[in-house]
Amino acid sequence: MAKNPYEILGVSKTASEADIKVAYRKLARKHHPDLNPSNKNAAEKFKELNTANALLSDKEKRGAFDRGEIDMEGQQPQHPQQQQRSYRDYAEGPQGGRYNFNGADFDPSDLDLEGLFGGFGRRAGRAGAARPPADAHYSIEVEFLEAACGAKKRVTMPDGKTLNISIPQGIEEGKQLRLKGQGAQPTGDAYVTVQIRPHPFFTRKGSDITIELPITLQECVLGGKIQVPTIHGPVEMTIPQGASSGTTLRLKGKGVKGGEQYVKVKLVMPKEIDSELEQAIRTWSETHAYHPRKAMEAAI
Amino acid sequence: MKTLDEVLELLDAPIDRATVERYIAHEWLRPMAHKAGWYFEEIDIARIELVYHLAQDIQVNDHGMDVVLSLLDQLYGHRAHAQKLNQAIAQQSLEVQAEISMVMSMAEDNS
Repeated sequence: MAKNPYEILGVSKTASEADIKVAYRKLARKHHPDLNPSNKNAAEKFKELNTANALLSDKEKRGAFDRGEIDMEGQQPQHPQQQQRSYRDYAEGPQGGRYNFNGADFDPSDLDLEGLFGGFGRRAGRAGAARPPADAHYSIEVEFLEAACGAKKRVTMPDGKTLNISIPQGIEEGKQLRLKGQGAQPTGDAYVTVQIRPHPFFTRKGSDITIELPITLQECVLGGKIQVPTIHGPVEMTIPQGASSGTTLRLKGKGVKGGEQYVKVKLVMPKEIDSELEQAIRTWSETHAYHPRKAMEAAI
Repeated sequence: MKTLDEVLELLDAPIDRATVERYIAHEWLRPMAHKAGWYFEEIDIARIELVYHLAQDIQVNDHGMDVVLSLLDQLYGHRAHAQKLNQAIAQQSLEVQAEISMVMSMAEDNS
């Protein structure tokens, strides 16, 4: 169906020239593609506005349209500001640096990822400006498992302020959280730098957890099923027969957010080597020489 | 690169020499200066039309024009940065990309 220029401009068929002008200006302000660079539809909408305006602001054409002699599609607007050249196309192209603020002398070392992503829209207008004093900065220490699994905490700071902190699962050491509206004043934000307390058994690199698991001589020689702690609770794992100290086994998906848990086994000998064990090994050794250092010796 | 005469021929009336010179005097337009006069790139020509449009159809006055253009230039500058950043991120390993998206979702969770 052919589009109706009156509907596009939101005016009645009896609207005066002045009414049309006012309506067009109001809509042009709203839909100008350079004032709406993120909106892909703005250019199309703006073109439509211009076509409608060109038709209705020309008395002859308006009359012809009213009499049904032409329609909007058949109308080729001759309006000078038709913008065949869109400024946006150039501003976002290689020539843009000519006018773009900072575009020409962008220094990647100025990059502030958190600032850019966390507050792009809000802070862009005062890039480089100091944060208002309404904000507050803190540092907290969280437990290893809280950092790995995520947690919600209520913490009282040394200045007496109580913060509600949502620790995202898998947060890394030294990361800063922004707590909106929890700054020194209600208008400000609190910035909390997170330190992670080490765990006695688990260590973490990114989303992978590593644990060193002591096993007995019997488990080394014979293998078997044993219980292994993970950050999600204990699980049962099979130690293969003949595992060496340092053998690393993988528990898929038992790390942080679907990462792995690596289990590094460590042979722990009995506290005392009794004569029974000694004798058994002596007997076995007589017929079972093996050379774990062969490659090493050959290389030196 | 085009001279002012060539540009005026390209542009539709009623954008005339005086109009373009006025834009340059206001520093809304910064063509390259040359002994023989001004030289215009495509972006300059598009910008003449932009300024004309803002002034005529949207009725931005001279003071407002300074503000509007400054904000537009900042906006396009930031968009260019964001684009470069996106391209740089796209060139990183999937691991790093996942890390960045995690940091971003963290910032969202806490805002």
